[in-house]
Amino acid sequence: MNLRFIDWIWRVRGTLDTGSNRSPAETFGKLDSLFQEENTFHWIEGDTLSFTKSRQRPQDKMSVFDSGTLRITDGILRYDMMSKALLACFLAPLAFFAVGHFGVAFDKWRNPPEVAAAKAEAAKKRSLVKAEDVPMNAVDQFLGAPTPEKPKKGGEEMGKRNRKPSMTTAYVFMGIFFALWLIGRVLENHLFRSRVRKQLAEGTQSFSSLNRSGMAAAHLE
Amino acid sequence: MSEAITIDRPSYMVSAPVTMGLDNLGRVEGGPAKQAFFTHFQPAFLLAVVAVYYYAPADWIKPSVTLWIGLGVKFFMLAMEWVSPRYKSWQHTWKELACDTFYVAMGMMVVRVVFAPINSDAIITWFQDTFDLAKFAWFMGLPLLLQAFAISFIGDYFQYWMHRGMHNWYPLWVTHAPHHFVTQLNIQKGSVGNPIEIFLIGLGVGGLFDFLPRAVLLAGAFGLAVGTYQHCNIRFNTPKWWFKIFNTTEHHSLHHAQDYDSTRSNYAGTWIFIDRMHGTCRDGEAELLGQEGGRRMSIWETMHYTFTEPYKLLKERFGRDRQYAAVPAE
Repeated sequence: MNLRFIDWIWRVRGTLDTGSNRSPAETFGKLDSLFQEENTFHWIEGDTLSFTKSRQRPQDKMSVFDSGTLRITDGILRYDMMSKALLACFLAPLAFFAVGHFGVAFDKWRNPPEVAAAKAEAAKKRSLVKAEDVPMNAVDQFLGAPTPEKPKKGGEEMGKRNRKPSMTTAYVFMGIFFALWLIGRVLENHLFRSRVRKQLAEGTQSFSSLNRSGMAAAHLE
Repeated sequence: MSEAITIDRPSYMVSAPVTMGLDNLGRVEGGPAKQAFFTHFQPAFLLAVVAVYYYAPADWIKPSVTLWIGLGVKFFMLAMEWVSPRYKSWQHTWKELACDTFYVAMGMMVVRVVFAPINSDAIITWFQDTFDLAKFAWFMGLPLLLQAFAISFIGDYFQYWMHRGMHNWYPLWVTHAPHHFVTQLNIQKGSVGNPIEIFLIGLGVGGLFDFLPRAVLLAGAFGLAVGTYQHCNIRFNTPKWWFKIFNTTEHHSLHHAQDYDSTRSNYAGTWIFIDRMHGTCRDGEAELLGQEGGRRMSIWETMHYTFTEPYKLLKERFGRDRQYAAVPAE
């Protein structure tokens, strides 16, 4: 099956100018530290570096990727990396939609209208002592705390949160996960590119500073 | 007195694995304004939240409003994690953020629904219907802050024993163990765990007796302005007196350390003096967290570990394919 039209959901691809005439082996050498992480395996065949990762630690800067290839031709790095986390994040809204419906159905099954009415009636009888009937403590009077008021009919009661399952919660999380996927899809590509650029630049700097110090040492001799 | 226990250090470690005592804790890095902010923030914030909940008119602090206050505080702390991180190795990555948000969603959408028939509200309702708890209504005449402390303390004391039980009894430990596989602490990490554990640790008896609704809200303020720090990645210059009373990230990081003895300390959620009362408090902090050398536990494994681990154990002990050692005939 050709997944070319949808695999951008979980694959991060792109090109990057390495800006030098280094050989692929030299460039991969500069990027080596990115792959020196626990449970990361990488191998180089000619102009291509392939890697796989499993049980990535959160401290691994490339933990979002599970496998991929980096190929260098004429100083251009072509990367193609796969992320199960991006795929899971993209599919999560569907799962939350289903879970939301399950929650609402489960609650309806547990609390049909007649049971809900009976529970409300029992709750009314249960609250024997009303806050507004209790004389305020002298300490609170002195400190100026507001006197307890009779709760308004149909209004929210202080300290009692409605935890009845609703599709609103599901829709909120569906939105959050879609936003997370969008952010991740853009951010992880951006972070990978900036890391590679930084690694290559650091290599160049240290290489040129090494050359300079080498030249200085030669000059002193 | 302070000492550092050394364990093999992975590449991301930048400080001593376990620092014992309060003398050598890390300090906030930055100028005088940042230092002052992160030195006084915790007590000032607690006072501010308590003052708001104490004096605000009832209409201002409806449940829908307090929900937004709670969310706002979480986002504010998330921002503080970036301004003053405790450890770089604990900083959120996109993947961690997504995974942690999954656990938050699971807690709100699955645990709350599936366990509703046996949750705290159901248990408390049964107690209230069975026993005449109106006899305890004199609680409602106590000063608000005392009631708030009582609710918070009763709840935390129950959780202390539940948590301690989880570290001492295998059937409970297998529910709690996945939570101990986290190798970072941050604002959402409190939600990471197997659904059974999230249900058990959420059980509370704080609402068993009649209290003034405002006192219930004030008890929540303690949780918001103290308990939230447990799993935070914010570096504060915490005052020494605060460590004596309240739970802190320092205490909880030790509880999550790879060092076994440290995990068996600091069980309370808000009031660390409960641990001090029972001799289970350890002062100090740790960066290197997790179980089994800090290996990552996937979301899938977190979901099934509680059931598959006991199964493996039982199979090992009583399984048919158990290898019997040959006994030489005499």
